[in-house]
Amino acid sequence: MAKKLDNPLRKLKEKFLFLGFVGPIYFAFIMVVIIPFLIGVYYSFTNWSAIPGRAIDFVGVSNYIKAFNDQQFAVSFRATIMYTAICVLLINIVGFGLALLVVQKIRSANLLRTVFFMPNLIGGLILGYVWRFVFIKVFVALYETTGLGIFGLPWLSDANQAIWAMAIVTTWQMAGYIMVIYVAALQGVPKSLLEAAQIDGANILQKTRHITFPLVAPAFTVSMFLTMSNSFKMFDVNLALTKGDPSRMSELLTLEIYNKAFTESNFGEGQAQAVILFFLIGIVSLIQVYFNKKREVEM
Amino acid sequence: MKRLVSISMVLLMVIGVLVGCGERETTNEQENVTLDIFQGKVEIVDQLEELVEDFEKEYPHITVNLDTSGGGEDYLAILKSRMNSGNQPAIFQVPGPTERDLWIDFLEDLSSEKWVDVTADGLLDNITVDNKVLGQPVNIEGYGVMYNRAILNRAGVTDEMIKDVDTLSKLKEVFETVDSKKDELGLETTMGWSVGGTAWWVAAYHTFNVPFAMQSDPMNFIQDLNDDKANFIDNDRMLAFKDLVDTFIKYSYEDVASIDYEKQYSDFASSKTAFIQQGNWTINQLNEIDENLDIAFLPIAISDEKGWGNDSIPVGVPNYWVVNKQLDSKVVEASKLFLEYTAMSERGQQFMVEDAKYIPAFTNVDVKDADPLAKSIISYASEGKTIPWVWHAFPSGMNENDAKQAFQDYVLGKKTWEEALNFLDEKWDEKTN
Amino acid sequence: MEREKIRLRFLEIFGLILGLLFLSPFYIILVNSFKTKKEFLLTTLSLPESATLANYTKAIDKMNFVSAFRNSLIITVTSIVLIIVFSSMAAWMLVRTNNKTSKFIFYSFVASMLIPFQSVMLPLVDLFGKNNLNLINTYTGIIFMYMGFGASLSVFLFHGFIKSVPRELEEAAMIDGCNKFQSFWYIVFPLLKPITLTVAILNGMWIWNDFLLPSLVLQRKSLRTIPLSTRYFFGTYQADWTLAMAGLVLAILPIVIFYFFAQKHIIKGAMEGAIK
Repeated sequence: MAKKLDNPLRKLKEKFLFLGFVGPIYFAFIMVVIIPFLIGVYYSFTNWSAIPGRAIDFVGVSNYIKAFNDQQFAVSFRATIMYTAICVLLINIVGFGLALLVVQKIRSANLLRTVFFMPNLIGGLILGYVWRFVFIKVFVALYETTGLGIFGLPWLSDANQAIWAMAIVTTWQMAGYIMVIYVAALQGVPKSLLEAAQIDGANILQKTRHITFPLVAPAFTVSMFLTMSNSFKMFDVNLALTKGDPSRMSELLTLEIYNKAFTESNFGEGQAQAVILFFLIGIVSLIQVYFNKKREVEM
Repeated sequence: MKRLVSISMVLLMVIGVLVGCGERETTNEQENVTLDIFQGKVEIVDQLEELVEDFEKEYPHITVNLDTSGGGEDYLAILKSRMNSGNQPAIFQVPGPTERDLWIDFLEDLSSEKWVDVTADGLLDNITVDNKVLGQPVNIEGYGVMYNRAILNRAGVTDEMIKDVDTLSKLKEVFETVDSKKDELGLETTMGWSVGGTAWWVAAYHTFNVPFAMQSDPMNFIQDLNDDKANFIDNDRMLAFKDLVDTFIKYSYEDVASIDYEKQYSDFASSKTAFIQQGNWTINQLNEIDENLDIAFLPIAISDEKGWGNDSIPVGVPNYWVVNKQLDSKVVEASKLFLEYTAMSERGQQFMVEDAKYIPAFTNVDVKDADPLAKSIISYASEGKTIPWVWHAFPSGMNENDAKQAFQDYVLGKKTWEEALNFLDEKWDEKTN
Repeated sequence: MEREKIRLRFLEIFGLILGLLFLSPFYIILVNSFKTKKEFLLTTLSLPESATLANYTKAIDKMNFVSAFRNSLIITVTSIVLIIVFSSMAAWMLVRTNNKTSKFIFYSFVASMLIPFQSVMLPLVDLFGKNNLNLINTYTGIIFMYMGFGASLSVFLFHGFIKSVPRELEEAAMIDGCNKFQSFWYIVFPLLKPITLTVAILNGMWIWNDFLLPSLVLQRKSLRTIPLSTRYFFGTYQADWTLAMAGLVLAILPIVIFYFFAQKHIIKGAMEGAIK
């Protein structure tokens, strides 16, 4: 844009415009997310019991020290990392695969998009009931008829298996969600480019590898970030499917935080764990976004 | 400790003292009052709604909002958010000492209410502080080793033998007799018990309660644990408790760590198991599958010791109604009126006995036709064979986090019994220091 | 071309099989929504003996379906519209303004996606409670909260998309005398259609199905949304699974239909040019 005179009035006008465009949603965001979060951070330095009217004592960093010495926090930490790693991989692979499938010129594309998205609509206790039933009864029945070892695993009563089970359910739920984002990106890939490649004799793998992948790289960044932050914060599937079983080995951090804060009425310590979790995800996500951005091609 | 002896009297005596309502001074100039009730039992929400409607008819100046926390959501978590939102309920529920102390600044003294005099002895202990009664018991519930009489009889266990069970040895004998004929009886397993899945609470609350309730003075024992004057590992009841848990594991499903509640009760109701450890609240669910079940309770014995209460079943008050004293005095008065209406009016009693199918906590209420499980509880109570419910006095989180984990660790072989007890000691100390 | 046809046929079959696999858990929900409790517990996997609509009529009645549907609709639609309008505006401005404030605001949106809801819920209800903003038990309150919670993801998605929208178009419009506001609404916003629909779908699903926030904020019976009323099938000791499953089918049907039609438009609205 041609550089105009930098007079103060113009600058002020720009500031107003900026405020007018960004202000409304940022205001809501600050009121609903940032202020409560900062209050929460403050509580993490106190012994707040969440009972209104009770005196709140400042206890320094002792909640943080307790969190780091808490064995269960360490167990949940490990479980969360493992769960997140599996989820990010599975969901993105499956989600991208589904997206590739439903942008093809197949007749059922529309129907399939709806179908793949539908698992996202089931949450909470019904999700838990249905999937517990699948793992405990349906899988056992399948094992007995097919003899396939994968169905015979102790899906919910072994710690590692239980984390896999949660990741499978999460993938089932979220792959369609991520698919939506990949679909939007794939549709942005210019047809002319693909057709040109076709004429040059590129096969489908080559086209995907050399044209589609680089062009949807930004969507990868977005999706990786979303799946990662979602998995780090997972509560619903955890509560409904395993509730920490066996022996709190599959209790993810958010459930552990909830337990500390609400079940044990120890809000300060729960809040300290939440702050730690926030920084943990923050660092991991930033690293991930940084590397993905580097990969993205300039167009 | 047979605090509940008198409930029996109460329940058997069938006193028809129906105190009419409207005795409270009703001033002429009645200002409109809105009353928020927050409760956690989805099961009786329709019945309660009807009671509320009739209450509003009786007292037109009072409007009641009934708010129920559903979805298996943690009642306490939602209650905390209600309290913090400033939209505080006027009447809410407190299960026992731990939460009573949490909300103590909010609890109105109800000592001079009429229903206090007709409340069965002992039922107010958990909600009384410095001689002030702070809540009204909602009802009485009990649990035990529930058995299917038809199956037991077919296995050769006579009614006499059933009646005779007052020690763990005898309980084991009954289990063994049934277990030996498992295949002929068409049982999947003898007993349906589990420490995980959606049935975790059966073990972590109810089974776990037993060794505490059998202490010579349970509340004292809990206080000693709090003060670090007592330990799990040094306690004879806690050590003996292993024998009961081993028995349950032995006769239960192979996958005792993850069997769900639905399977537990539907197997029992469809005669695929002969025993479960459950309470009288399951009666409707069981009857939906088979309405002619002939069922009752056996004691949950942990040893053969006399005097521990091995011949008894745990009976207690699951929840108390409490009144929020921090609200306007008109609201507080209206709340008291509602509690009085529930306990003392004919309509309130109809609600308890006929609509909600409660075992009432009041001596003025007449139970006409109790279901088989309620009958069994009443009969234990009438013989003084009850032990208390004490987990509401444990530090917050002890049941749902630590007891559950200890049970699962033990079942899965990750901890020996001694290690599990040490673990509980450690967790208890963490929470009380 | 023949080879292409075979390839598509193969993909079609593969897709349908995969679709069935994805739908299989729904089978359990659907068949059991027609069963009696006893049938459900004893024969969960088989087809219902005699399909009865009793669960559906009872669920509609118990959920107060009409009122719940109305509440859900008002809250979801209003929230989506507000989220789309304000977050697309914000995202555009953030992309087009290259300074520290803009970066800071964008990254604060992104970072906030990492905050678990459970850790803000008590301070949140306190802030919006009777003693402060007094917006508990109002549509305004919950819609405003959805705006706040939906902001991050929506701004994030719009932001990513707008980066690929060429500047030249807006600049041309400005030269033609449009002000910033007009050039955004008339030139840029129509170009955002695919991502707008994506944002609408993702937020719509989440808000329609959300349970935790309404359970904290909507305490009056008359304000209950569909998820709130279906959760009343779950008690402390028992769950009315058959009713709950019928309720779930009723709850997700409208959104499935909405999605089916909405995503057709995504395809139509596909624009040229890559996302960046």
